[in-house]
Amino acid sequence: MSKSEKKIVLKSLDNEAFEVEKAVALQSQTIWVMCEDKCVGNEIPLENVTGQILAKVIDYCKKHAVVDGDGDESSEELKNWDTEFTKNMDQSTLFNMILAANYLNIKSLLNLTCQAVADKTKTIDEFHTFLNIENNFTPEEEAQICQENLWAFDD
Amino acid sequence: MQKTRITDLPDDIISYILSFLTAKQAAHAQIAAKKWRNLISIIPNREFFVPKSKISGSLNDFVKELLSLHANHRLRRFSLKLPDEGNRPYYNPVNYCLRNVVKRGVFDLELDINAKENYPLPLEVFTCKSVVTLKLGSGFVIDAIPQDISLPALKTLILDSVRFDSLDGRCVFQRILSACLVLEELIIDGRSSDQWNWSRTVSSQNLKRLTIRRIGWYDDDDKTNSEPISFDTPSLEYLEYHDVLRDGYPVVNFNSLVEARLKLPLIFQGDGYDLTNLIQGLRNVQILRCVHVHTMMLFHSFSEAIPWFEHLFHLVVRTDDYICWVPLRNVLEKSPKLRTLTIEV
Repeated sequence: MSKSEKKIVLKSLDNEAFEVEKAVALQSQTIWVMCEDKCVGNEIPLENVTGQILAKVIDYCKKHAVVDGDGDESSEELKNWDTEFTKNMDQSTLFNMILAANYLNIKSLLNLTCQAVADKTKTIDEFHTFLNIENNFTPEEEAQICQENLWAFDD
Repeated sequence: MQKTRITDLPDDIISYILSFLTAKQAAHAQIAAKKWRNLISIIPNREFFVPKSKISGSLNDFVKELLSLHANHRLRRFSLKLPDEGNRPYYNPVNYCLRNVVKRGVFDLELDINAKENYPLPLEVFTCKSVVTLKLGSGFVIDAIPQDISLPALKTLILDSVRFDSLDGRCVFQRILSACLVLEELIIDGRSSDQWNWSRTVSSQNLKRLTIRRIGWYDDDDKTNSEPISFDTPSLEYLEYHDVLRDGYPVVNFNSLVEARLKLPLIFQGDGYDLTNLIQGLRNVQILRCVHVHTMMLFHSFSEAIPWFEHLFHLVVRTDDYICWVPLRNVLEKSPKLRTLTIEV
């Protein structure tokens, strides 16, 4: 295989081009299918992902392409890396990452980002503030649901 | 760039995100938005209980039903009780259940399966983020735990006749305890703790309640297990301690102890047990219950060790007209604030 065949170019929604190793890109089931079908050349347009998000997705895939299959210590390190990776993402970025992981079909990244959203929302208030959703219950309705699940609101 | 909000995501993705919530988070999420009430559900309880009968078919049906539930069904409480039966064809279905409920954000997990030593408890139990009350029993050995063991929500741990072994030369029991950062209550039931290959140290900075109930503590034909035991539990408020006598208690940190309930056997002349540290460790106690007549006698054998019980206001003793008066006097002399003395006959 020549050098050029090992590389692949991913093009974002806003026309940013990323040249990556094929092994890195193929962690995306979506890209894998596109390559299998030979329906694209060496350049793959990704119409749903911005350059800013795609850069992060590629970071993730690079990290996971290198370490996968190694011993225990690496998997521990990888886990720490994953934690750091999502730690400081704001909610908008996380949601865009989730959408990208879903579109590109990268299961482990989808799970990581969904878990990160779950971890950042533990109480009703956090659901409202972090997820930026409105409370559209009346106080009576809210009290009623609280009453049904008293065990969850004891502290 | 415009901010993406969760409401911009399609329902199936929101639904997928919600499947990562614990049962407790799910209860909060239900109140967060009307729309989500339909995307998420909390099953209050799943119980499988067989008193003494055949289990094969029905357990499999139970497992099938559990596994067929959509991932968004969060589970609050899960309890599995199986009878003591000869062979164990059911380890696999039990473990399918456990792995499944751990993923459903279970809050309260109770396992009472009368297993044999070779039963392998799934490692996923030890990385469960959601579980608050965990009961493990009985009969099996815990000798494998994951590297990334973490039970961040666990407040109550009940161990009913399970045994621990060491792993890579480190005490598994101690490693589990140090992975429970908010643990408040620990209950160790049964008689097998002496067979543990463990460090014989109960060490926890946050633990508030500790119960050690050794069954068959008294007329015990196996007198060989009296190795020293240590308690490094500075936040402990309640201690219930039924045990055989120990050669010693190297570390006893009961600085916050409020109530102690002791059931310890009689000491005979010539026995080498040293209870000095244990008795002195009780110095801050406010309520002291000696629930067996022989336990009081320790305050006779170790009268030198009795500290000033500066906070003791309620003493409960069980007595017998000819053996208890001397030790009782020994304790009363050191208890300036005592207000209530209860003598149970």
